[in-house]
Amino acid sequence: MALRTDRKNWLLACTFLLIALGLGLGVGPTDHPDWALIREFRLPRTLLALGVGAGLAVAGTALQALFSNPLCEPYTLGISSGAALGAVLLSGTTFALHWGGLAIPGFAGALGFAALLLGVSYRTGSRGGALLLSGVMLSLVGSSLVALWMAIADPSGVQSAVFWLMGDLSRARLEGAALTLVLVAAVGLALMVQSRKLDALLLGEEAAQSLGVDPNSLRRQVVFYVSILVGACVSAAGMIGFVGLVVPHFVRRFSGSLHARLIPLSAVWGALVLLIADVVARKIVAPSELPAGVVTALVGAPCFIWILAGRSGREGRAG
Amino acid sequence: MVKAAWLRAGWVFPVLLVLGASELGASERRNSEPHRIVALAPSVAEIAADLLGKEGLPRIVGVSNEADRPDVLKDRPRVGPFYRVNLEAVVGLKPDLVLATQDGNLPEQVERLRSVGVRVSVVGTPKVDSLPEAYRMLGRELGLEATAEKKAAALEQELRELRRESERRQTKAPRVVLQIGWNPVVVVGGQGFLAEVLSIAGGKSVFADVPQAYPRPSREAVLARKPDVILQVSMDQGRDQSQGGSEWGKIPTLRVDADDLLRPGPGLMRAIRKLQEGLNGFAH
Repeated sequence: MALRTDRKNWLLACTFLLIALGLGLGVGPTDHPDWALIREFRLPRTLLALGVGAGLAVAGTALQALFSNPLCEPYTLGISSGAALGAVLLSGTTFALHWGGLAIPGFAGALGFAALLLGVSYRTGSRGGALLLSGVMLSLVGSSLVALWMAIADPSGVQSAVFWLMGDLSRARLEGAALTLVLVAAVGLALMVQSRKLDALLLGEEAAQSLGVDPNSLRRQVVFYVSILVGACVSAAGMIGFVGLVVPHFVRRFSGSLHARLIPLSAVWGALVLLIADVVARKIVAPSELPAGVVTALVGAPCFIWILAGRSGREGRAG
Repeated sequence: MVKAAWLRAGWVFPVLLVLGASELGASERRNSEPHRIVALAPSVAEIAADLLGKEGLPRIVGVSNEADRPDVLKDRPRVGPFYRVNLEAVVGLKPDLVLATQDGNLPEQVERLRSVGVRVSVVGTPKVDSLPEAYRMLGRELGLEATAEKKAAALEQELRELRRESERRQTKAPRVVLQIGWNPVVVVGGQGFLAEVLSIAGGKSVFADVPQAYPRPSREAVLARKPDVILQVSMDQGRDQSQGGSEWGKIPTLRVDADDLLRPGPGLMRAIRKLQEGLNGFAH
């Protein structure tokens, strides 16, 4: 029975993904694009949306399990603030112009903040609450520094960074998109290997320990993987909200909480949700474009409330 | 077997020839007069239109969302706002020349267009004196050197006259706040294009000592510097964001046409002259 449900879930996800792929490659400001136009603009953008959407959804799934907190999302731990800080500091400079845009400073900033967080976690013994609070503080410091920079920087540098901060897939290039996809797939697989331990952690720390899982060591490992995921996604496409928060909750509703199923299905749904959001962002005010992050936030927030309302209703009836 | 390999190899030469010929054709096209021009900012669209004249306007096949002068450009396909154009829309118009500005368009978008083989000319007008040079540069790109030289010389002459007029009229320049943003208040500082425009028109920014081009002072800081007049420029497509000057109490305010002043193009001299006339009443 579970196998049949699984198959149905995968069939549904893959069908939607194929449709989204068709839309990603087929929709744009040009009515009859030639292959060169698709290869240069739509294909990289579509691949990047797939990679970033999958990466954010997987990161959200792992963090929600790690801290047993449904409000956790990829940006909770402040790693994204590190990426944002690295990127805005170098935006508008010659380095950013000739060396992969904002991706390299963004990724370096994410890794810098991740190193800080892991350093703190060693000092505090990696307890869940302390790690989570350290992350939130780091996030506040990072976003305050970004705001400070925007207040004092040259407006021409700010202009480029503002769109990036709102989540922007339009600057995708084929090599970067392919690299993001590969990185997300590799880290996603590494997290899949930890799926049984994440399942055990959902039972509580003591129960997990009795099953032979060291929660502190698991937290450090998962935070490391998530840092790479968030660094890769944010540096490639900026801050795209809600995918990492909403998609895991949505997928949990029909696939259950076992991470061996949850992680890959979240990846597929995350990919297709972001791809569809980007198609909407491209088309809704064409030839202008909305940042994809605006669309995911506008659609994501009501969806999240709907999920919560559905869950509360069921719990109320059960009670 | 060997013969088959030679036969296959035989295809390579005609293919290379065709490819080589098309590449040669491409480089020849690159050097010829452009006939499909896309302007990524309203200022370059206006300069290009000024140079091309009525007959040459059909050569402009796409413009940024803001380009609305001359009227005929309003019907051209749009490629998004100048601060973030839609690159696919630009390339989709199959331009043989794209015109961009150094200050308005994002450098990474210009680089991206070049990376896909699009010919892009970037016009820089960091100073008012750069405008005649921008005309000459675009004249070379459009194959209209003689027209460009004539217009550039006229601009230089007008600039000289404006400067002379400001010097003649005023013994002491009025102390001015040139306001370009409302919430928060954004003004013109001591550097940049608009600071120079103000100086040519015969005004002196009370924030001239601030090294930023566009500082964001508090309302209190503006009042503390005791300006003679506040010049208000709406950045929002002509929509009036000010409250009729009432927010500055007794300090007189003067409205300035944003489109002319903020676009380094053919309307700039007209804007400076109007500004000069407006400031004349406040000269000491």
